[in-house]
Amino acid sequence: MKDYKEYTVTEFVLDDSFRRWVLKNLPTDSSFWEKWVLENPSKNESVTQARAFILKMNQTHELLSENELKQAISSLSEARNREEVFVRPLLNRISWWKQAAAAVVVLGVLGAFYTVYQSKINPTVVYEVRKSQLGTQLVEVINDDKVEKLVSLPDGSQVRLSPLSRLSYPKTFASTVREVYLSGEGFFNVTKNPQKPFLVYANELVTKVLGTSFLIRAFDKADKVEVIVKTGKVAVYSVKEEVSKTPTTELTGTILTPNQQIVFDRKVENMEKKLVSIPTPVLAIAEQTKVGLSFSNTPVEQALDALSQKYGIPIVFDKNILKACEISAEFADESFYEQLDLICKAIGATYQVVDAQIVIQGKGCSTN
Amino acid sequence: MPVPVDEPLLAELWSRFKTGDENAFDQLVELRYRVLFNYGTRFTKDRDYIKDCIQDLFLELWERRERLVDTPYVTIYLIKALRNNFVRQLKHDKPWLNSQGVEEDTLVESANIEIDLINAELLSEQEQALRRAIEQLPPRQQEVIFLKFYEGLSNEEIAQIMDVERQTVANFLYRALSQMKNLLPALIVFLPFLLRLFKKLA
Repeated sequence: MKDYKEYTVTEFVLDDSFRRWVLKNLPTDSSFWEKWVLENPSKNESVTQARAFILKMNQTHELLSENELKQAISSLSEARNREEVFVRPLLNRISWWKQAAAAVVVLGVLGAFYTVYQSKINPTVVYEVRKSQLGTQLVEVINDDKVEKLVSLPDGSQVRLSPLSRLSYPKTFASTVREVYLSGEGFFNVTKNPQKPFLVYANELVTKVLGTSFLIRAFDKADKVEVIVKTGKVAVYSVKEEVSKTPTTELTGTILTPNQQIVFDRKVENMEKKLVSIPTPVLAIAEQTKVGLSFSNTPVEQALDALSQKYGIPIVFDKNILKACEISAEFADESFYEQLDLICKAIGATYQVVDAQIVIQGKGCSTN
Repeated sequence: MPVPVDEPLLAELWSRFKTGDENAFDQLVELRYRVLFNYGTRFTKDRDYIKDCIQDLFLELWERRERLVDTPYVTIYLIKALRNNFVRQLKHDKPWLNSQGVEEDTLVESANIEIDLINAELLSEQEQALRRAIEQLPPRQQEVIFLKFYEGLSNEEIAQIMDVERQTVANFLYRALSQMKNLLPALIVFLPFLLRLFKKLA
């Protein structure tokens, strides 16, 4: 045992066990040192100085903010999920594949219990029926466990299937299209392949994606089916519209961009395009700081463009009318609509949400 | 302050991740990302480049997980692996830098504004002064200072990572601390014992 009673500050600083205690505070080191400090009050000053020096040196090397760390970790975990797919021998590691894999979230609940009830409403959309159409090449994964289950699709896409959910897909995807059928809830991690669209059938809606992320809410008992876009673009159409089975790589149907959603009314079979109730910024955090919604005597046109860009929501207004309007404001935690309200109030304008766009009407501002 | 990390815990996560446990892998990444990133800044100021290197390292480990050996020194393993990749890749990706990559000042000027902002956010004035002093040290001395005082490693462990003799580490450490003393006349305020520290080392 070293005689720490004779130690100088320097010796403490350079002592491995001491540094470990200060930096890592592991039980083995801390129980020793805490006791030792109590027993040797005369060394308190040296210990305090040595601690301060080590902590300062440690802090000096800190170059990563919490946010940055979180971002980096999540991008790593996304990359790993993609990578998982690409190490499989059937795919060459082509860089655009790597780049392009996109997370697709599909959420729906279509309990098998209600299948019969459901089939009375619209037999063609029922999971069971679809499943039988797929015939013998079908692979069905049923998750009756209490935890989610990871399913790897033939193209490398992955699905985290929630409890009480089922997913059917062909053993090998057709040469032109990737079709899957969902009953329940699943998180899709789809590898992007523009030549081979990925189609998710859930209730009355078909959601087609070339590579993007979105949410499908297809509760079986609900009157509505919803598709909400997180990033990129998706096309949504009703099963009935899907007249020809010829798959195209074009996105036809209703196109959704971020913060937009489709609400399908199952009774009247009507699709409505709306904005989500709480739009979230679509730009990456790094870019957000550049967009920086802080205005000082800024032409309102610029302010609205910045807002529009940040949320990916089109804002329509007459540039000539609003030409003379300026705004000074700082936005931090305000929601999209709060920011919009404040801007409109400041220039004496009003807005309406029309077809998933914001339309601003105002009388303009006097030049002075 | 980084989260205190228990090497035995890391070793356990390590052996779990080798069997394909994704959670263990994610935890490992979370616990060790910070030290790897900060260590990376010893080699280049290009933050995105560092992140790419760390990401590549972890992905490579994940792919090769079944062939990895168990180790009780996960942190040292990771740091050393990252170091090897840096030395190799800096040579490859940035041939305009000195061949070793680590021997010359690899500061990328364009990254300075960003670094300054981060400094202001994360560090007190005193710490910034200390950092500036450290940044004027030759890279290998900076590296020793980092491993010694950020990660708290022993001279033996540092020697292992840097592929040098233990005595060389002690020499680097001595030279680094002495030079810092010259660079930091204003830091006498900071800790009176610094003077004593250097006296002792001399």
